[in-house]
Amino acid sequence: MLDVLKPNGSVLLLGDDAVVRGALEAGVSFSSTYPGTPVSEVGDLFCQISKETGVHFEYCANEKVAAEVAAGVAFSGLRSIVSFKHFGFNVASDSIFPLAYHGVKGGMVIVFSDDPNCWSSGQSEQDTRFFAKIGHMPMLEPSNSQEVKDFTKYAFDLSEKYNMPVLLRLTTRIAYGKTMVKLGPIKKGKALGTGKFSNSDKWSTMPPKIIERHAELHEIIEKLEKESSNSGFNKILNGNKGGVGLIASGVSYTCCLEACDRLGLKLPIMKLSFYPYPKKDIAKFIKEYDLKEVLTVEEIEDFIEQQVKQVVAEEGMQVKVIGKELIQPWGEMRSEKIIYALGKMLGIEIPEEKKTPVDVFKRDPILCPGCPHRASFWNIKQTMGAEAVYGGDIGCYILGIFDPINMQDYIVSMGSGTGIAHGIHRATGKTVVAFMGDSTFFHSGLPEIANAVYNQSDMIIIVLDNGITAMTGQQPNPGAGIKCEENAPKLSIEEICRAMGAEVAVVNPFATKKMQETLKEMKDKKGVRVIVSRQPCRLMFMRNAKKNKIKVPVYYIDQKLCKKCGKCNEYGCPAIHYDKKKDMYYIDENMCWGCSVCSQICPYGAIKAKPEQKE
Amino acid sequence: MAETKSKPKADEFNILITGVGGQGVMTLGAIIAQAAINEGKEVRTSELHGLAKRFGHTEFHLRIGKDAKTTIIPNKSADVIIALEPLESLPLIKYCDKEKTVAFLDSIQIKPTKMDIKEIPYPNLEEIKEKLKSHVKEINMYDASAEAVKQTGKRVYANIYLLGKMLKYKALPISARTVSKTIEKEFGKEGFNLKILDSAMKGKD
Repeated sequence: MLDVLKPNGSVLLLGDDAVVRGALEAGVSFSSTYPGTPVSEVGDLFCQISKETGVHFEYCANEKVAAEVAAGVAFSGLRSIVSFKHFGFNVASDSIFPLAYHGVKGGMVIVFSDDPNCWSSGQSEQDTRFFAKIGHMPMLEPSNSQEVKDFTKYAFDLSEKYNMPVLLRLTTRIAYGKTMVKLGPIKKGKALGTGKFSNSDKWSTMPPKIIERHAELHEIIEKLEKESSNSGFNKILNGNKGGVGLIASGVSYTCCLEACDRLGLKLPIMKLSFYPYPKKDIAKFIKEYDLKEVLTVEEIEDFIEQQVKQVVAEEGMQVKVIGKELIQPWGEMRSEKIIYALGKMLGIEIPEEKKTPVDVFKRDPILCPGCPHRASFWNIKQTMGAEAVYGGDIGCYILGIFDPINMQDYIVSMGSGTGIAHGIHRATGKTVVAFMGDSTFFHSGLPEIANAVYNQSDMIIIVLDNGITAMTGQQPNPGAGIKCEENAPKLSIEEICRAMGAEVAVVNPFATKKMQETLKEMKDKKGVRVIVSRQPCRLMFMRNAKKNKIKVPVYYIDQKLCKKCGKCNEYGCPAIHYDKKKDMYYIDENMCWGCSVCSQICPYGAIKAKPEQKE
Repeated sequence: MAETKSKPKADEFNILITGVGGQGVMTLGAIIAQAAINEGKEVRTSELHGLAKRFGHTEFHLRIGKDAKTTIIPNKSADVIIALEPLESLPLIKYCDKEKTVAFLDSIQIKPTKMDIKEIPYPNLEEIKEKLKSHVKEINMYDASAEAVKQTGKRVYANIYLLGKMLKYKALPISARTVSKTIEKEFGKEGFNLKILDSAMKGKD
């Protein structure tokens, strides 16, 4: 039995898994997501346990839809939870901000994760806590898996008490950290179909009602501040009076504990876990401990620092609040950063960290061996040239920015590759080649293509269709033909594009010659051209091959035929190596996933499939 | 950023596992973590998923004991580092302490594609050891992948082989018995895991 489903006891849980457990203990009925690291595992686990628990789960086309579906469930009196990464919150925000105005009936929890240090985020180092303020919604911020579980469960009750969604904010190290969790009883949620939607004007808002409701929301925020104060979630750790105190949240709180331990200091620490933060409690903490200085410890922006400074100003207290002045607003929190800041404040001598003591060869992530994206990039570069403008997008193909592919001249957000391509075309007259994945196509590519056709643009859109949302861990999308562990209608990308009025071709990136011919034909045309480059994600293909015991060919370089031109090495497959001492190109059999593209690239026919194949 | 000499704590043991995405870093970490839990110890871990690990540098932080506060190991605080690929041990140097850190390395060389493209030779193993030497107390290198291939035909069991060596030299605060029981419970009695663990513990180095 999965740890997350055990009836009781203590288990080691990933932060993401603890979200699921908390929701199960709260009697959740419905869960939705659009996958995004570092919260993809929330949806994946819900999918995995959906049949066993009876909690219905859906992968949605994008985060906005996922939030809307969850809202509809909550409007109808059932408990729902939706999860996405911080950028997903941006996409969903258009529908989320009005939700506090509208109100929900069943508890609705919105789980999102920021990603300080951008471990899996290429767009920006975003601090999404500010959305709680704009959205007039309470936000809980756990500091370990136990709190993730407890806060998630509590969030449903809180949501129903105030009839508004509750935000649960994770960060990468909470989502992907494992700590012990004491389990509570699982509660069976209300069955789907038993919800009741009552027609009333409650669900529609227009001025002047919307402004009246806005006024109400500010009263509710004050009530929520009291709720926060009484919740017991904001904690004070006892310490010495008359000196420095710390105020922190989430993972930064655990770093404070570590830093004080290491310095042998006993400083009072206030942990803030429930926004709106209780101003009175903050003032009381500063007064009771007679603090002369407060260090606010938080990742990314100065969300807590500004509010503590406001409390100090309002109360007219003589205390210096220091935050981003000593702890930089970028990168993730480490206890060393706090040790440095406390050293400065307390006059403790702390040796500066030496730069990396030895030169380290950085091993960047790379497209898998046999990845169809690499083949698409190769074929496109052969026909469109290295000097063409390539529009990038969000997906595994982001890795195409590295050597030796070096393609994608801009990467902004999901679906943006095509929108920006049209702007560049308008400004320069150039024909941009814009990439998007199949998941991106359904997520936000559709309006981008509609706009390009409508405004009579000139561009080539390459849909890199590997049949799955690969980067976040192989989740299905509307083009995959499956949903959570069941068959589903398979939407045709080419038929949709044709219906929108684009010129469409479908190619196989592993058939290099044929794909290049089609690309050349399309290059000579005008208008919006869509080329669907279709081949399953190789990682998914290999997993299925292993499961179904299908043999996959392995390629080798026949040294007698090899002329050492190095063309195969230019392809950049991790299975192909060059031994400088022996001046020899060779394929690592353990790494070869049998796509055959290198054998097509070799001008001398030196790369061949081995007679025996691997399982 | 600051660097402080870590004070020894009553109950804290820090293990840092690294390698190339796909080698079995997470699996090894999960086995040790579960074994520690089975001995009634408190465990904290930190890992990364998604794009961050596609054939790139992977790290698994594992902290055993109730005095550990964060899931990430603080600088200069690793008791053991395990590198399933030797080159990947070098980014861990900031976590190492000359007085206490013991390193376990597999000798397998997985050449980063960037080296092939730029025609940079993979450094020889002595060179890597030399760089690491001044930052750790002890280096133990084994042909774990080669042994795994020899015994099972598969490279992926190298992590279990290294685990066996660590148990042989009592480098972990967990008994060999608990580890083999944990493996048996998680993966079953059949298969190569227990065999390779046993051969590493009993075999010569």
